[in-house]
Amino acid sequence: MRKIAYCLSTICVVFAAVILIYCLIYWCDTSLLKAEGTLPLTEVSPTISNTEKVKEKKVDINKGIVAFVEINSSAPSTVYLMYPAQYEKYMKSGSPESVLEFKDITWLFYPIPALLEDQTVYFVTKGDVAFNITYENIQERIDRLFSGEEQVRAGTEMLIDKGINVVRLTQLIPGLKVTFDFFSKSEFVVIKTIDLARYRKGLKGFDQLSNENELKGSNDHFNFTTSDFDDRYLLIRTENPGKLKYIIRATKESAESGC
Amino acid sequence: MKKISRRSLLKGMGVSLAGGIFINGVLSNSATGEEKIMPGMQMPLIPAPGKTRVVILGGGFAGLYCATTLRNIAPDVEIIVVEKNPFFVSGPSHIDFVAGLKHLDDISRSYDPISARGIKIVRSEVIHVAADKKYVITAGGNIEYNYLLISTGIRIADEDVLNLIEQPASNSHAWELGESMEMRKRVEAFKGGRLVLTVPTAPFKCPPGPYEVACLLREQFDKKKIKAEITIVDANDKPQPGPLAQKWTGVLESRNIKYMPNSKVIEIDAAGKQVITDKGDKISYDLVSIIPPNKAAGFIKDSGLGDPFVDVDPATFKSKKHDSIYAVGDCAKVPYTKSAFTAAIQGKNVAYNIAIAMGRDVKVPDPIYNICYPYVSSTEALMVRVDWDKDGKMLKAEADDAKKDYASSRAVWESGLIQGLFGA
Repeated sequence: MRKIAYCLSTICVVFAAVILIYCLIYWCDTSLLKAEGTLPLTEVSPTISNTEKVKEKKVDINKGIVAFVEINSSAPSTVYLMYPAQYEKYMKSGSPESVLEFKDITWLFYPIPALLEDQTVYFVTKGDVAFNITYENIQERIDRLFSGEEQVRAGTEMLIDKGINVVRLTQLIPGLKVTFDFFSKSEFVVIKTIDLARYRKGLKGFDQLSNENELKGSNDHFNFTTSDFDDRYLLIRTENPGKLKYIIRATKESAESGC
Repeated sequence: MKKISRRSLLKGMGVSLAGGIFINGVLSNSATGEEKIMPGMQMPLIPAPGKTRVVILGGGFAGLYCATTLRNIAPDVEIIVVEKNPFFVSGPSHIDFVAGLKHLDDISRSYDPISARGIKIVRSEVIHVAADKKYVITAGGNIEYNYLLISTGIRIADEDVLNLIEQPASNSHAWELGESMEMRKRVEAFKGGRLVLTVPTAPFKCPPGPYEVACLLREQFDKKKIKAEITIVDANDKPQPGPLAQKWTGVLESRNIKYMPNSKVIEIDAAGKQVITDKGDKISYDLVSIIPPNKAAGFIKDSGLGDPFVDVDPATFKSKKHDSIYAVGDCAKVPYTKSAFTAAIQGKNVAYNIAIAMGRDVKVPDPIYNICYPYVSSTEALMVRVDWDKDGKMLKAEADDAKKDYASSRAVWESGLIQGLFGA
């Protein structure tokens, strides 16, 4: 028994020493690389957790076609959108750093136009999601828009917490029709960027912003038409967590505004 | 002492009251940067027109191409260009300038060759357009017009980034001459660390510009063996213009330029050397270049011509509110890319449309197209071309990967634009 215990303790000591030496080598290596400037000065971002269900979807779009990617999820999910170079980096590092991210969404409607060349994008999702992709000819779509047809441009449904939430509405150009549906009657106000900055800084509160802005209300539904190119943010105050859905529709006027 | 009759007194009071109402009626009460209209501005800066007069606000590519084209097709018309800067600077070359590839002499020109063609250049700043009365109020006085072209370009909206106006020395960028000169100094003095470049939400002047600056500075720093971590904090969901996003993401990855999409910078903390995004992220920097939102001059909104860009028919560039007012280039609400190339073509086109409005027998101009060669390095550029129909509907578009030939094409492209105006 004593011999067995001795062997086990020796093995543990050796193992610990190996780990220590490995860590020392890694630390030295990393420090040297940083000193040479080969490694970025910032910390490496965390990778996508292996414990969550990760799904990948590659979408190829031919030049002249726009793909509308619709994603549905029964529970709030995170969706990353990557271009090929970003996807390659993600495959090597496991990190979705520096890519477009949609958090806590239960529905997403996102256009990917291939105006100048064939496009490939990758969707990497955490959570149980279903994809539905439709394709349209860009020129035909523009023609219909110019003839007066209203077209869904983008949309999202997301989970929001109780309290005050901030939702960015972008990319806005004049003539877009924005529609909101809230899970229950909520107080809301639509503000511009500088007011968001003041709100975040504690210089203005929800009530003051509500007094100062025209686009506001207390309801479970709201819509307005954009009149300029300014980004806008929805501030919504709610008693309980729930879902918020917004849809942005393009019109002939928005087509003439261009971007 | 002569007695003042009650009639004279009442007449005098009436005149004073009317004068006061008139002056108050044209006082501008609007946003940051607008000057109040002082009584001196009500005096004519230039005598009333003796013949048909076209006043052009803004002496950039769009305004000057309109002026020179109109001079050719309507030689009898009086043409006045109102410009606040003392000399012309080519917009595309700001990028070359901050990266140390060009000098100020390379990118600037005197207005003398324009004046030599019988085009008056008036140095002043526009305060207001009295559209119903057909005159412009400038800092130096009134100018009456028969036709007005607004081509004042973009206005950098510093007020949309919290603390930026109070701390102007904290920032520099390549979107205005003064800022470009400052940015070049800072780039030359940069010894390494974190460089943060921010991109405003589209539309903004020169959509590929911010990414070009990042690539050129990466090249400069690598050449000088300066260790720099370059981050682009982009308010847009993808690099601009959107159709080039796939190419741009590949270029930025290959050059180890970090890219943060959908992150709008809303505040600068100069003391702490960090910028703050709408998501609440705090990004530290050693050198920052924030490009604030691009809007149009405040007088456009104040004069009821659009918000913020002038509301025009994209086919004729005529204001939707006033028949004798036109607008082209970056200050107009049109679907065309905000680029020097389309500005030049729009300037030529609007000259023809104004001549047609005057009853001249001239051709209907060709529709607008854009061609651009965005730098990915000092020796290679991408190519992108977009064509629109006469109503502003996009017809076709194409792009090509980076090539050395396109960098040469870019040089020819820009020198062609400059030579078309100044001859050299």
